[in-house]
Amino acid sequence: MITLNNQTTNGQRGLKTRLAGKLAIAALLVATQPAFAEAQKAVPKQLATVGSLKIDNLTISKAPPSDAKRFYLVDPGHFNMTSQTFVMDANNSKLQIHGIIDGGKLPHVMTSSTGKFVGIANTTYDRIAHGKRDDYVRLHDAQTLEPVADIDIPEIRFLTGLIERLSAFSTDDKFMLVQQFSPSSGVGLVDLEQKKYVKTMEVPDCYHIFPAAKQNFFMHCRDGSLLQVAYDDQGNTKQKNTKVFHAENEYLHNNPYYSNSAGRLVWPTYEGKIFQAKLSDSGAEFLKPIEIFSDKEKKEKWAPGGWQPVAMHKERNEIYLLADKRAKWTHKTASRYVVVADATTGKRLRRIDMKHNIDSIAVTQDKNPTLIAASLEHKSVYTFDALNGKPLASMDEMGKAPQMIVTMDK
Amino acid sequence: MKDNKRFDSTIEKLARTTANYTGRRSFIGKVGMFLAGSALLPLLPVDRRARLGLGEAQAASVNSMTRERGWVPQDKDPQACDYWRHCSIDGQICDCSGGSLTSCPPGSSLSPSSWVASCFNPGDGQTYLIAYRDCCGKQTATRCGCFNTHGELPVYRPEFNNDIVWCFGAENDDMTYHCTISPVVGKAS
Repeated sequence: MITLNNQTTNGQRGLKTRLAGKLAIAALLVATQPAFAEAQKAVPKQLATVGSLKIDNLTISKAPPSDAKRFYLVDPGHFNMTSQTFVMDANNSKLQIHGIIDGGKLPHVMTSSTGKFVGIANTTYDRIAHGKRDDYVRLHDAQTLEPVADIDIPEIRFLTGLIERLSAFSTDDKFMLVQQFSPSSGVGLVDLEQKKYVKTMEVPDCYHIFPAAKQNFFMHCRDGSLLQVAYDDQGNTKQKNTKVFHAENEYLHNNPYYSNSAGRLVWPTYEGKIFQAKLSDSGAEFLKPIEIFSDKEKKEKWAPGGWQPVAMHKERNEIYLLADKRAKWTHKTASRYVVVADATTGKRLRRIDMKHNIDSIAVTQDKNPTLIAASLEHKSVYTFDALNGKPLASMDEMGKAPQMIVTMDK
Repeated sequence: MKDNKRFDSTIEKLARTTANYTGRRSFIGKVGMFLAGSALLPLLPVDRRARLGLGEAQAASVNSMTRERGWVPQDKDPQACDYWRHCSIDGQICDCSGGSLTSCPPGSSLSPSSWVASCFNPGDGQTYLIAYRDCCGKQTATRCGCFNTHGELPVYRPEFNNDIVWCFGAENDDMTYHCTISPVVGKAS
């Protein structure tokens, strides 16, 4: 029995109208019964018919194709058992959110070289925070956000506060590489085409994964060298170390900038010295380090700081460094400024005042680049014109702790 | 009986894992390295002290862990983020959620692995080695979030890094972070 509203209408015409309306609704309900028979099986009986009325034109949205302004904002909720990845873009000087992808504890999120899918390496437990651990890799379509592959892997993931490069796609998107820390150092090889785990490749005491062409990747080792690892489809490796490129007391931030397509590595120290390298299958070419701050600025205590403190615009050859005046050992504390410098000469190009305490930055790779900035304190994301520093847009309520920005490589 | 089974199971698992990952020669080598490393462990405070420098460690006591002032420890309130023992903690203080400075909250499991830091106690003017231990097997505690980085090093120096989920060896291998305790190992000088 459906009760319509209790409006009173006067006269015969009103009565006819109401009667016609009731008949029409009754006819609609009768007509839709067969079509909804299956769906209604899942609807609680207490809701009767009203709870599952057919409404036309209800759909599930689809995100636009990924482009240079697409980015992913990862919220691990600090060390929460589940995480969220916000799927966003910064087109037209605005911020748009296209959806959210679920993830497990401390996920590693990465985009494919084409932008057509996004990968997440996950860890979950079957009794919330204990019980049986399950590590797995999921690939999600970048428009529907539906999983297109779900690959079980051994329980090897190195769980830390988010460090972007502890897992990565190979440069051709055929493999995912996953860092293992315990019980020994290793890199898990996941064949994405065959949708299977290949093996864990033993490596020495080295960290981070920087893929290069022809099934190579580099890692940074405790002694200050890089380790080049070439691997075949079965996970057999050839390994060799580069020279030691930084001193023991030149501490490198946990989240450097790296481009899979260009092999560009940009890695700041706690003090603001920037080491760079071009990585390829033929080896590592180390560039001349840059001191990003002048002696005067160093005396004023300028230094980089934040969670994801460095970005690069490759075509413009510009380095973006999250920085502020700061006391020693505050290298992970948020900063208010971005210092932009030429990547070859180190010449200062501009300084952007973001007017917020920012933990993480990234830059889009298009010709009119956008500076994207995330704040843990405000649980917000901000965008700026990367060329003139003009604020463009902001969005709040970005989960518990939006900490990592993953942008398109091209 | 149950404990014995668990002990047996743990030892068996350890043996199998070791066998899986290690040849006999490298096993002997690694045991040797472990023994040598263990012998060197007491030297860590000395190494750390040299890096921070005595004057610098004491000078830090006039700052605080804000961007501008750095680390300013106090010795009165263990549940406050600026309590001296918490100089390199990253997470939740267990004392605020049913534990203490040296005990995990009920229902969680104590990890046998730790990262270390040298923290200056303004109460007695001494610097101590703190071996932070994570309490594991439960969802992250929400109270007393604390994000200090005094002397904290990058992940490629893991023994001094506080970003890692330090639940290695916790009961049932639960690599899930609940909160952190700050036990003192000894004087750093």
